[in-house]
Amino acid sequence: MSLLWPDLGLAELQSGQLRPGFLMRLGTTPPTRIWCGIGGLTIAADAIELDAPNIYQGVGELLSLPAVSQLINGLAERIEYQLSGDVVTAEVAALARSDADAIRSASVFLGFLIFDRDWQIVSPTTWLWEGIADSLSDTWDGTSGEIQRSISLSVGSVMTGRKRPINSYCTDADQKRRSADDDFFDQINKYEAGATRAWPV
Amino acid sequence: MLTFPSFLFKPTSIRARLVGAGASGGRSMANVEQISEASGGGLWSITLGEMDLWERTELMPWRAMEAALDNGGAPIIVPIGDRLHAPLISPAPAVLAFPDDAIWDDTALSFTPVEVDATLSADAALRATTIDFDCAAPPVPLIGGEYFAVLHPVQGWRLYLIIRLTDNGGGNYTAQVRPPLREAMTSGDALNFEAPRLICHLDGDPDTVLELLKFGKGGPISFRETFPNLSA
Repeated sequence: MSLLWPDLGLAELQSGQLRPGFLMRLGTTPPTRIWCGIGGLTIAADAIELDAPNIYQGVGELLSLPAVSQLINGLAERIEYQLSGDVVTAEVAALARSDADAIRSASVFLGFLIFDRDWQIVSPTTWLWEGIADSLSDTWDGTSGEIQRSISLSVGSVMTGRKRPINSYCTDADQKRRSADDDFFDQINKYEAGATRAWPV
Repeated sequence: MLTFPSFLFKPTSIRARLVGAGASGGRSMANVEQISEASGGGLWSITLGEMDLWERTELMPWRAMEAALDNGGAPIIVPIGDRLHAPLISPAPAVLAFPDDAIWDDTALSFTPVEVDATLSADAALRATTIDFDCAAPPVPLIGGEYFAVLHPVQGWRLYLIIRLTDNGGGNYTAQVRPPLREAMTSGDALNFEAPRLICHLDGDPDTVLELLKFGKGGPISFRETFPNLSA
């Protein structure tokens, strides 16, 4: 059994013809569910989709699927989901009209499942990546002669908001900030490169 | 509803195909290639060949339809018009009420069978690719490869193609279809083999030469399946 994929669907993965389905679930109220294919898609309940059945909408809204990384050791990344295009669907339009706070900090899950040759789901949904939504941006590009519109959703991984500590120094002032009555570094300003202190005096 | 009156414009050809999203990871040293198809079954693309618009009664509706398409912003019902291969008594269009000769046809949103009465015999789920249906004594035997359309309550007219047909006897058939059902169906729902159609939007610019002369040429013109109701 594969460590990553369940047994179901392995035969399709090993074949020369693969029928994948990529899903994106945005934790707004109500949740926004879209997938890369055409038409509606119902998936089974799991740890992410607790209340099945839930229908994922698909009319080619996912214009691009960003590359995601397996993040370890506190690494963080930010990805851009490009949604919609010239056609703004009801789901994406509702998302764009939502309060910024409703989108910001909403959970984002990227999932993957496999269809068989009759386009029936043969694998459970594998949720590959989890992130936190930040903001929606709307761009219009007319440089190619016709207007191309896209709506992008910026999503950061869980560690994106991690703070880095500021630098600290071995000076009396810095030590006093850490411990107000500690004089350990109060003579440090008398030292300079090349200085010699005889001891014992 | 805006419709494409095939029998008025008489396109020289009609091509309907499912457009997918195939991708390949390249060929290995042993020339082995894995194909990935992520569209979930594909989307219909309809291309209609050149049309001669000789009469005023043909040219004026074309001009109006072209403007009404709103550069792809308006939905339009496009009939497949595959009458030579549909299981009909005669391919002559006179026996059917649709499509009419008008570009606005409210009857396009309904269907009453005249020659081929086919209904679903068992419920079918969303995205099902195998359906059971009853069709007693079609004028021409069903053999697979037929187009049919279903008027879904939410998604409207959707087009399907039978890729494999099993005759179970007694007028009951089991069919494998493409694309997967756009909406769940219940037993008794009608299958339209006589005048299959689907809701599309204009795909690109039509190649049209319409001058202020007596006649002109329309098309070719392409349409792509669209989903006016996306929230169900």
